[in-house]
Amino acid sequence: MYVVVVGGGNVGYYLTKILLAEEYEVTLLDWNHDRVKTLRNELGDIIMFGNGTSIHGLQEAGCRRADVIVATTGDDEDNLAICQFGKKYFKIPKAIARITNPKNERVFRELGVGTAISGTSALANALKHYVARQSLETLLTFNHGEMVLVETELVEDSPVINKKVSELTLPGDCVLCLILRGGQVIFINGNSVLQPKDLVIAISTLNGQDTLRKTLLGEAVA
Amino acid sequence: MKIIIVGCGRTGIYMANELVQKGHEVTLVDINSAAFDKMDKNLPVRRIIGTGIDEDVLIRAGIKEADALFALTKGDNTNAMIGQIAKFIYKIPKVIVRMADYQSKQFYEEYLDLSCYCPSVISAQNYLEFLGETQY
Repeated sequence: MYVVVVGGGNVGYYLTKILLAEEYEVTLLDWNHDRVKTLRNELGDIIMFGNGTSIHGLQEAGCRRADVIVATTGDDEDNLAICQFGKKYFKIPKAIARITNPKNERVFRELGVGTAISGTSALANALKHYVARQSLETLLTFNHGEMVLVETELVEDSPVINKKVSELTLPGDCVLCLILRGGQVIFINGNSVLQPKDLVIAISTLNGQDTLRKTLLGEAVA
Repeated sequence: MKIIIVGCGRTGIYMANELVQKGHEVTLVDINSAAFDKMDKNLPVRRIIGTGIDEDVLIRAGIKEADALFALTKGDNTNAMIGQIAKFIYKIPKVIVRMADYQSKQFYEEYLDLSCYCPSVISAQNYLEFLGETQY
């Protein structure tokens, strides 16, 4: 499997190292002399100087016989050009583009580059995942603020899903009341089985909220 | 006609002036607000600051209603992406992009059906015509 990687920045560099470890044949192309020199010191002749957004540069890198081309520059427009040259001109079977604007995933797909990957999306998802575990929303308090009525949406890997409520170990100072699921209201009893995306309404003591949150949402990885 | 020009350099400004005189509605997009300082402040064109490869910017520039789009930035790859978004995603009838590299122009025209204009080749041809007409 011969892979041409265009862009010798951090992403291209670390990708190349992964590919070499997995015994792929790789050429890494970059158009900065100093960068090429630095990379060559460590990785040798697989590092090539050239312009990956030009047909000539890609030709020199052996794109005619490449199986995959990966565009890892920091600029989405350059990565689009690299992948399109690769696929259309050199008939490379597979092109993979790095993108920084997540909206370009759709744009690239419509323009013929079906695999466009953004680190931004991965970061955003990690954030959403973390935030989702932080939140028991307080609907109201009563008994002089000692008791809270709370609501939360269960996540994919919540510890309480797909088990009967009677099988769960719940904190003593709370009670699970209702599930709102797909527009339906379900009164919770011992036989109820919680599912991801369920909106759970519960009552807890003020101090017991944290334990309840961890029980329902799991421990967030810091 | 509703016309969008991305890349407000000398060419873009010249075209904007001509088009406005002929009664067309022109929107200029440039990533750098300073570009708009080089033109007459009173020229009735819409000025959008932003990058043309961002769909949201193009939508603000009125791409959904545009009849023509010119991509005239300094970057061939940027122009190619803008042109393709305009032609193939938003189906703008008239799209042409500036392509400094001649080999790239040939590629985009042949393989991606994107009209390109290569200034250096056209300039060279004009210069050579001039030489041809001179008696020496």
